[in-house]
Formats: sequence, C-alpha cells, structure tokens
Amino acid sequence: MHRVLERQIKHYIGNVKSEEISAQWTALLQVISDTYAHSDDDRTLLLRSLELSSKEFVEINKKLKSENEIIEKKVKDRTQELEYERTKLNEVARHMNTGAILLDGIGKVSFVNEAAMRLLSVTEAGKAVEVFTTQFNAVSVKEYIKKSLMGESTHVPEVEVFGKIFSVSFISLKSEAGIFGTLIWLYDITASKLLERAKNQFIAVASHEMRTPLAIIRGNAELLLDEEVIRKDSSLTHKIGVIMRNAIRLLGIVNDFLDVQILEWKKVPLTMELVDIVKLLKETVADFSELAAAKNISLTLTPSSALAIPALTLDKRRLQQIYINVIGNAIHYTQKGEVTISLEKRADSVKILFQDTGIGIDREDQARLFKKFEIGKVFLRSKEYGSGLGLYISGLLARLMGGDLKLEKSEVDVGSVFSLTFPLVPEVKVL
Amino acid sequence: MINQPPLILIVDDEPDILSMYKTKLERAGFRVITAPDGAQGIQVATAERPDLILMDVKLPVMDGIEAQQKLRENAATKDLKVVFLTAFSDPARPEIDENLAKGTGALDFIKKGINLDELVAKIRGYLELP
Repeated sequence: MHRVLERQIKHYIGNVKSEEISAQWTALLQVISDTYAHSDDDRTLLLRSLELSSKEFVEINKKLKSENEIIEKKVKDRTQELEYERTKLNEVARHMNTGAILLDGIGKVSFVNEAAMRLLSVTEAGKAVEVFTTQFNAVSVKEYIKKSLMGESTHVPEVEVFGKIFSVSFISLKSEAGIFGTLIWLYDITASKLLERAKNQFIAVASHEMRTPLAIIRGNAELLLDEEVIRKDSSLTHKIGVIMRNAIRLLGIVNDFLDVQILEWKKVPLTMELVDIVKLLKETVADFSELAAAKNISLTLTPSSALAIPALTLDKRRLQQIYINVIGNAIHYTQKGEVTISLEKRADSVKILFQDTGIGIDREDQARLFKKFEIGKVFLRSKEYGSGLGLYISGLLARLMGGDLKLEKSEVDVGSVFSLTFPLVPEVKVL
Repeated sequence: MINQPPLILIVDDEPDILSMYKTKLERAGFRVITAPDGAQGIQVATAERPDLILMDVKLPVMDGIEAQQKLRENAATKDLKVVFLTAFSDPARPEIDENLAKGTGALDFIKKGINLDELVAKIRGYLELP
C-alpha cells in the first residue's frame, strides 16, 4: 500500500487490521493506492523532463550567447572595415583634382567632392547640379543625366565655361540589381588645351611664313630650267630638278599643316557643288598612271558604267585632295602588284574601294592610322611619305562633307583596302 | 598700243617674288612693272593703267584688299583687271579667303606656290589671249 494512503487511513479511520477490512474495501484501497503510485510516477517523469528541458535550454542559451558574441564581433569588425573604406574613398575624393558628382537612381545628388564644388564655385553640395546645369548650358546636362539613368554613358570632350575648358563625362553606374546612379566627372583641361592651341597656332604661323620662301625657291628652280645653258647640261638639269621637287614636297607638307589648322578650327571654306565623283576619279587615276607605270604597278579603275551614280553635292577640290591622298598612298606603299579602284552603289550610299597589294598595315598601326603625325611602324620599312597628316586630313574632310574614310582591312605584306563612302540623297519618289 | 605686249603690274613686298615673276613674265613676252606696297601700287596703277595687276594681300602701308577697293572707287582705275596672288589660309587672318577676294571684284585668287608655266597660262586666260 502507498504510504500516503496508509497515513490517510490511519488519520481518518484509525488503526485497522487488514483482516478486518472487507474484500471490496481492499480492492478500492488498492486502486486508490495504485493511482497514487501512478501519480507519483507521472510526477517523477514530469520533473525529470522539466529537468532535461531546463538543461537543454541552458545549453542552447549558452550556445546562442556565444554565437551572438561572435556575430557582434563580426559586425564590429565589418563596420570598422567599411569605415576604413569610406575614409579611404573620402580622402581620395577630397584630394582629387577631378570634380565628381554622384547622383542616385532618380537623379538626386548623393555626393559632391571638394574639387567639383571648387570647379563649380559652390559651397553647398545640393546646389552643385543646379549650377552645373545653368553654367554648362552648351552641354545638354539634363538629357545626358536622363540617358545615363537609362544605362547610356556620354562623354563631352570639350566645353568652354566661364573662361575655362572642361571635359565632362556622364557615367551610368550599374550593378546586378540594375542602374543605381550617375557619376559626373568634371576635368579642367584648360592648361593642356591652351598649350595645344598655342602649339597649333605656332605651327600654322610658321608654315605660313615658309610658303613664300618655298615658292621663291621653286620658282627660281623653274626659271633656271628654262635657261638654255642649263637645259643643255643634263647633270645641271637633274640637280635643279631635285631642288624643285623637294621645294614642291616641302610646300605640300606646309600646305598640309595649314589645312589641318583650318580643319581643326572648322573654318573650312568648303565650296559645295554637284560633282560627278566618277569622272573626277577617272581624271585623278589618269594623273597617277605615269607614276604607277614607273613603279611597274598596274593601276586600274574598274568601270562602273552599269552603276549610274548620280552627281553628289561635295567640294570638288577637297574630294580630289582625298583621292590624291589615298591613291598616292596606295601607290607609294606598294612595291609590286596592283592598285585597284572600284565602286559600289547601295540604296543610300556610294562606296569607293581602294585596294592595293602593298606592304599592309599591322594591327597596332591600324589603330593609329587616322591620327596626326603617326606614320607608324610602316615608317621603318618604307621611305617616309609626306607630312604624316594625309589620312588625318582626308578623314576630316570626308566627314566634313558628310561621308567617311575608313580602312576596311589590311594585312602585312598582303595589302590594304580603304573605303570612301558618301551618302546618297534619298530619291524623291513620285507617287 | 595694240602692238605693244601687255603690261602687267606686280604688287608684292618681297623683292625675290618680284624678281622671279618679272623674269618669267618677261620671258613669256609681257612687259612688267612692280610696286612694293599697296599705296605705291595704286599710284603706279593710276599712272600706267596696266592690262593686269597681280597683287599680294599681305602688304605694308596698305594691304591688297584695301588697295583693290580703292582702285574700284576711282573711275580711272575701276576697270583694271586685278588678280590676288598670295598665300591664303593665313592662320592669323582666317577671314581672308577666295570669297572675300572675289567679293572685291578681283578676277581670281592664286596661291603663290603655283607653277610658273601655269601662272603664265592663267594670265593669258585673264587677258583673253590665245
């Protein structure tokens, strides 16, 4: 019997001998005793499980606490790192000479560095874009910002503002999440631009001054060649011929320098008129036939009578200048083989192809081909030719007239193909 | 007067240019007189009434453009034929170009580096000679 029950019996009924209790009572008492015993068991189980849970909780708690400490430390470290990075960037931004304005994804100013504020003469970052837009009114600031927020970056190489010259870039900032802002770079290029202009001016003035003496040298060489005494003596004739040829060569170089100045200043006096470009091409090719024959190179213009190319509005003299430059180059840089010129007519343009079997142009030089003064590696393999400005000028001229001059392809020791393209004025359809 | 060869006046401040063109043109059968600046150019043109004037633009005392304008203003000289012989594309004076020159009533605008034979051919053209 359960001792609690025993006590309770003793308490409520008194001392009782077991034989005196009837069988039913014995059974009932047994059930009650069992119930107490179960209850005891349950209580023990419960206490036991509570104990275990409690132990687990403590364990988990301990674990959480230590992990928390680790995380907190990591956060602290990372914050420090970010602080450091931020300080680094801030210092860089502060000491940069280039102006930087950072706009967020909706075009609001999120950062302006000191250089930008200085260049724009503002003391408040917020005013930066406003001043920028009003001062730089030659540049479509709002439009470029809009474009960059749509993913397109723009670069304005030169703009003159309050007496200085700037170069401005609108850079679209992208991440995997999308476009998150615009970075506006502001470079003050006044010093280098002024230097460049002074240099160009100097070259132009010097070249101009050289023209007259060169004309005098050439003219007098011509006069000498007219003298009978000279004409009778082939050795004298030869020498004077050399003087004249080189005077002409120098004159050509001088004219190129001056041409460049005019083209760069965009003060080109272009006389636009209707030009039969094929006829002019035929004439120019004919002019070069002697030179090509002397070098034993075949120079051909494949007939284009089937193409019926209409007259185009161009400057005839300048077009011929381009022809002379490209054909002259082709012949000069070809030792043997041929120079072939052909025409292609498309729906909206006409293309003239100049193909040669010359020494070709390697990859590196191809990139510098239309730049000023760069004759490139070719210079080492072949006598220098002209001022080094020919293609630069021809390129500028072609574009000024609405067309384009390009190197289609070239391979060293195989040859090159240049193309000169002009748009065809759309035909007016009669309905 | 018809039998005398045409008279050409060359106005240029460079003596070497003057001597060069004078030699060539005289060899080609023309008569040549010269002047070293715009003001003297006008004086000589008024006195001699040449058949053709080759005038430089950049001249001391009075430049070629102004001299030409003055010639046009004077009844005695307004019908004289004038051709500018010069180096245009002078970077210091970019406004001077063919159009400006022709606008003053000059016949033509020739570059100084020109081949002398070509110059003679052009002159024969201006003078309407065969």
